[in-house]
Amino acid sequence: MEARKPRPTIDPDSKTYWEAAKSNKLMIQHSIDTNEYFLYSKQLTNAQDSINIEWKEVSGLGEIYSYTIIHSPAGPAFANEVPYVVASITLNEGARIISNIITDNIDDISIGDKVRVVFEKQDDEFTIPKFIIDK
Amino acid sequence: MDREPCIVGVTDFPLQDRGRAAVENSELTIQKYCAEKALNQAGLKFSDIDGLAVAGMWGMPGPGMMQPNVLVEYLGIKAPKWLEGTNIGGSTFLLHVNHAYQAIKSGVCDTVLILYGSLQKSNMSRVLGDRPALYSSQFEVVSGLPLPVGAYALAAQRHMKTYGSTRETLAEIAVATRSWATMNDNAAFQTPLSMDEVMSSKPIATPLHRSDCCLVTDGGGAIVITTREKSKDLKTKPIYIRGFGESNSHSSINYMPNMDHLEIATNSSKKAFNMANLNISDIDLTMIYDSFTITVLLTLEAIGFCKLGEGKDFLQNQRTAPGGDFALNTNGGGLSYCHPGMYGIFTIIESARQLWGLCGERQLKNPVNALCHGTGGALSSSTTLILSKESN
Repeated sequence: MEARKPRPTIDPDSKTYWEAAKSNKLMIQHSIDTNEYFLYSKQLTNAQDSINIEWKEVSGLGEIYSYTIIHSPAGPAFANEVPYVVASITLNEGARIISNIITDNIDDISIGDKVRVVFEKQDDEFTIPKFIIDK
Repeated sequence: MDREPCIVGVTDFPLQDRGRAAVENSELTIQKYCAEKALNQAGLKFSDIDGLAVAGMWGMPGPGMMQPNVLVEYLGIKAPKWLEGTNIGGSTFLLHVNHAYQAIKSGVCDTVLILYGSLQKSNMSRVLGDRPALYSSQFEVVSGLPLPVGAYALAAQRHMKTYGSTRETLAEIAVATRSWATMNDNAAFQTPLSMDEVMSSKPIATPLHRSDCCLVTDGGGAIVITTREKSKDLKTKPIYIRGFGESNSHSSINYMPNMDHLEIATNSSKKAFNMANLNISDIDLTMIYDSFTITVLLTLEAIGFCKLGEGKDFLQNQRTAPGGDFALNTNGGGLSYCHPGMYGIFTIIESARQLWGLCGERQLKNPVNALCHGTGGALSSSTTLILSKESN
């Protein structure tokens, strides 16, 4: 039997992100008070003190903050994908998110490369926002 | 009564067959063995213990979710006055020492036993995937980031881009650490490793290759801490806890403020040096948790043994190997000695043995002060400890 890929355990802080992805939108959280964007953690912003938070659609444009090419997969579910790229991406709005870079040229990736979001539909219930190099 | 807390006994668990415990063991027998040996070394009995700290990954879901309860029951510790079960990853046991210090000094209890045991190699419980896609880690798990190695790989790539460190920089650490392991009879790997072997080891998550990663072994350890007053009647000379510090910033690697600077280690070590009233130049032995080679590079820079970005020069030409001018990870580290999952306790055990002069072939010449540093999670938590033969 083929191992199934992990699906997120959707919670109140991620529900809108995964819901929006199903209609090909990238939505993250925004602090109305500090005008900062974040996803899930407020670690990289000052948004922890802000009371007024909304979900906003963002451009889907950003750049690679760091990346790694995976040769030992995260379990059997990813065994057919190696080598693949996982990256931490700084969105133009400021938030950092983690996802895959889809590329045919795996050796030609660098920190600082501009990227843009694409939506990879897994099934009717689940779409993953991923990124391609935007040269 | 002189309540100055000091370490009076330490033990690590004997391993065979590249890091396996003998077959008839459980996580509990490993911890009982270590407890007995450490107590014997000091000349103490189980009935002297009135405080217990324990952490590990065994027995979950199940009794292991409340490990202090399990060990109090199993060891028959009557009416303990103090318990500690915090788990912040591999840095945990340094935190336990810090907290034991505070409990003993303030009179909550007199004698603390710190315990760890793991059978992760024998049980084959260590895998790169199959972690639940929960909370802040849901995004990396869905992306197929193998954990924890993928998280450390992201930090390594960022450090290389910012500061120009290279795979050779990291290989210097793996090779030097192995050289120390050749002098540790309990190390899983005791044959020398070359720069070429590290460079040509297979890629796991770039830029990290196999030889940049810690081992997967069984293992365990114990530490006994008591007051200076009580230590006067014991068999060992007291090792003083001169300084400590703790810091923490995130859970998922994506939320590490700057992946090329381990700011939490700067914070925790600064606190430790201030408390100890010592400087970097006073340190004779440095024991840094080497979950991956990059962890050592980030920690050396963050503590200030060299400036940020200068680790690549600092580590050149096997400076941290036996005979080099910077004694680092003299037990062979998590890279070559053992890594049962939460390695931090072994930084303390090796430091105490070096300060007691018990390290045989790898013994340093009369070290006085040792610095231990633990990292936990995905570079998430930092704990620093400064141990000394001399009290304040």
